[in-house]
Amino acid sequence: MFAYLVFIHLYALETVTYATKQLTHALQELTRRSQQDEPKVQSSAPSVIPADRLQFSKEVESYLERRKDYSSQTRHVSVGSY
Amino acid sequence: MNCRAAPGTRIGWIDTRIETGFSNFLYIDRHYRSHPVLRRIFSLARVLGYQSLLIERLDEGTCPLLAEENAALGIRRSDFLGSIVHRLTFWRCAPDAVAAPTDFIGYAVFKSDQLKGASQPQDHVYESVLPSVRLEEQNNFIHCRRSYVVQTSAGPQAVTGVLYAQQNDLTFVCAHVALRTALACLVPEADVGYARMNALAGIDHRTRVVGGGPGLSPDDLQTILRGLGVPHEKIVHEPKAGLDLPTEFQRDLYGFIESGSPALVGFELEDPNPPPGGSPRHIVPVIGHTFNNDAWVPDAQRAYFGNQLRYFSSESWLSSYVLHDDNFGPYYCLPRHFLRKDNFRIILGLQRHATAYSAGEAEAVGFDFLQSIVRFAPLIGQDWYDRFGVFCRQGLLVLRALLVERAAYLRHLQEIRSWTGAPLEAAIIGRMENHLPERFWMIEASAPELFTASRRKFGELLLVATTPLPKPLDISPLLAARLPGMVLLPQAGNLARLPTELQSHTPLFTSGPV
Repeated sequence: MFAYLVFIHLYALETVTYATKQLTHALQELTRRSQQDEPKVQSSAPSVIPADRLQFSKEVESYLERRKDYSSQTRHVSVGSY
Repeated sequence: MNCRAAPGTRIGWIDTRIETGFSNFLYIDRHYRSHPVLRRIFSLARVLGYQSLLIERLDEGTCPLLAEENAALGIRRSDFLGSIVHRLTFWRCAPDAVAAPTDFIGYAVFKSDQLKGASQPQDHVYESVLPSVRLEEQNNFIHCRRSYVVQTSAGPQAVTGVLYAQQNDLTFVCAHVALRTALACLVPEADVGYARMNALAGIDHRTRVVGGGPGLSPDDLQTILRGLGVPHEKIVHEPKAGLDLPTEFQRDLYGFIESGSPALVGFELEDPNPPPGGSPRHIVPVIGHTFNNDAWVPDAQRAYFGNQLRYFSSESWLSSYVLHDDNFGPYYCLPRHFLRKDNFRIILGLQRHATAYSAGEAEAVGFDFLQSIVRFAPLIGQDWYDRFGVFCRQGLLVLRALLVERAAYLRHLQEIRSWTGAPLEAAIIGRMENHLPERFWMIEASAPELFTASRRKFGELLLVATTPLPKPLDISPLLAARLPGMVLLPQAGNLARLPTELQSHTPLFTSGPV
């Protein structure tokens, strides 16, 4: 169990460290382009984003579903006195 | 007529400066039976710089609210003889001086109920309004405070704060006073008396009583709120009844108060030998929060403690909740992680307007939309949009969800400027004005250093708040998105991009004056 927890923590640490490294790399890349005065790609920015190109994650849908279920389950619950 | 509007009979106006030898402790020991909550209130007045104290007597003959309370006490206790009520007002000027508006600090109403044969009256602070000692400049955010006018014998004076009240444990208990504080923040008349609450909950002091043990159930609280037409949401955690809240309650609590509404938080007390009905419970109104720019939690929670979120919720920088506890007094700080889920039982989040889903859900959906936008347009050759894209892709955005009114948002759009001073174009604001509903969720997107130090953001995304989210999720809840260099508006089922000269980060939204 302890080993599992250590694994989870190291995994999370690695994920965030990786994200931070990636962020640093990406920001450096943006800086390099900006300093080299590379041609701006503003014109390539889309003027319309088609709705069917937007994708939504399963995690968010599952989170919303869990919230909805629990809310329905507890709607009429009244426990204790204050 | 309430205790602020009632005419008071002046008993005295005394000099309370420390250099005169005046002692809060001595005064309260001699005149108010060493009442602990009053000591807290006087100490806050001291911190706020009080120099004098005006003492007035209030009579039930000229204050119908007190007459109503005393009538209830007469039913509840046949040995009730009457009450003595003092209105204490705190001033920064000398006694009998002509007070400037800034000289008035606030007030407390102290009620002593006399019971036949009792050696001491039963004392409580019926109500008090003081300003918070710390405000935004000191990282204290109390969005639901409001202004009250007090008709003192030295003329009308105004105070801005959150009403505090203490139970008498006879006709009203902790749930009543917590609700009174919360309602005072929201209802226009600023006063909902206990008689009205009890009438709505069916407490007549004969067939059903409160105090000395019995209190209000969550059902009673909801019945009162429904009776007053106040929208609210309930979050329940009752592990002994097999109801284990699947999410973190602090995120929901933050969602309510960040949108400017108070929330009631109920918890179970630690009791090694609980009675058959379960351990006693207590409920308090949460009215604000403090903020710590340098919090270690946001990074550490994700790096070391397994939080799997793919963004930082702005709640991570919350340091303490600000609350009133009727047992101790007004404006206490509850450190964020002090109240554990083991003890937590209920949140009743009051709302100015009903929403179809919570701030936490809006934040999660907002993140999904932002990710989708970045997937479609990862780089556009504008520094700040591209930085936004990088933070979004790496899961390092800070998101803050709050319910906003259209008028306040449009004001925000008119005021914001880019780092170089560029405003948002009037034509775009005009389109927003025609397109947005009365109120909506706003999810602000920032980067950790931008959010905490400069209090600025990349932009924001707006979602419909009054319609349930579609299943599966589609583009329909999205009202608009404003990001560096662009505004996205729905058009014929797609998102149309309007270019803008506002190409850098902009200030975070702040609520307007109270």
